[in-house]
Amino acid sequence: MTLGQMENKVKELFAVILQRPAEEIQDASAPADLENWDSFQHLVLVSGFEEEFGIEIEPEEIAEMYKDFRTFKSVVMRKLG
Amino acid sequence: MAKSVFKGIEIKGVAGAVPKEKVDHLTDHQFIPPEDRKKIVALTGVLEYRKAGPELCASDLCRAAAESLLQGLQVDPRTIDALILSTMTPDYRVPSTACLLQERLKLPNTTVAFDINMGCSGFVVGLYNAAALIQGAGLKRVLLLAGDTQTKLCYERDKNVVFLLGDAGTATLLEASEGAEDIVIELMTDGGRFNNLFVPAGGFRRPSTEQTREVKEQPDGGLRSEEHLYMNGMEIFKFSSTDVVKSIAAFIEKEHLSVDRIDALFLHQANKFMNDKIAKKLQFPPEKVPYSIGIYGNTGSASIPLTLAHHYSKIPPVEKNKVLLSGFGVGLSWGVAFAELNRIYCPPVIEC
Repeated sequence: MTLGQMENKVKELFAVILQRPAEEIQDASAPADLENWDSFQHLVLVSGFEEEFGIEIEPEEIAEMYKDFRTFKSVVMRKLG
Repeated sequence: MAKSVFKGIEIKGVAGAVPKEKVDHLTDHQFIPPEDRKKIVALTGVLEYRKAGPELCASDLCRAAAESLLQGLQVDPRTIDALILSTMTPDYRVPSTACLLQERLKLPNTTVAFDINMGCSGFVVGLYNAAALIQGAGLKRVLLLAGDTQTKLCYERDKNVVFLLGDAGTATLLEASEGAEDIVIELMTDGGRFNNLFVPAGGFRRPSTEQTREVKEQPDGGLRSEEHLYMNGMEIFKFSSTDVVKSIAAFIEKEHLSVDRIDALFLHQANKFMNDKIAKKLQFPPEKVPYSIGIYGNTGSASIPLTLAHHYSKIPPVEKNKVLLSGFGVGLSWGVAFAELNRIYCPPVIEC
């Protein structure tokens, strides 16, 4: 899978869990910009990504990811190595 | 640094009491779509919780727990020297509910009785005070009650808190006992972050008005009034999974403990996802981390003793069980305690 395909997969899963259209999600999208992305749903997102990709996200990273989609994606991509 | 070593004190027993009324997250809370409810339950680990009706207060739950404990231990209430109640949900704003419980529990007029206004760290803060009264003031028996009816602090449609919190009351008896192993307790506070978990209005800083009682969409998008509990979920997550973890890890190191030398880690039952992360970070295997959150939810100051009661009432008496306890929450306040439980008496959790 190419880097681009992987990034798309991250965006798709993010959109599915948040129940928002994928096109609504931009790199700069912050929790305040996306309906449903609150602190509770953030943990649902993290848990969903851990399960789907078999990765483990550290507590500090979970907090860091609650900044914007770019940061969220970069942490996931880093974990996927 | 508020770290103290208490000598010659034994935790004799712990009892818990919960309201009869069960709320099932998967079938109730219909304002949230069923699929979302499933996701939330899977994340928090809270399948159901107990909710106190309008007439039932934290003091009633604590009283029931205390009566069950004293009866089971065959302790005469007249021999209790002090009663401490940790709660955020007192019967009255004035006086301390502990004073009322002195009479209801038929404790003598010579009893020292006071409330501690603390939430999820309340049990550890209460232990510290109870142990200090025994070691410092020479008292023999202290009854520590910890309980909350937190569901009454929440707006029923605020999904940030309604899927987590439950109501419960507990009672713990501490006694002077020569030769008992040391109890070590460390407490910490960061009032600079108090407004990440608080009830913004209804106190004396911002008295209750028609406006503060109005349920409306708040700046964070949540639906509640300013007299309901507000939680900045991500800040509390950060606090719990970083500050608290660091404090527990430092405590373990300073006390020359190790996971092998600790039989069980009793964490405040915040939510299962977060507690699993904390336990994993501290390298505790799941079998050493008991939970009660699945059936009782996050019960505030009652959560650690309720988990103790839930756990030890289901197994045969255990000798010299070394336990680490950590409570963390409103204040922000947090604490860590290490104690040895020797054949601790824990009756089954009762319903009121």
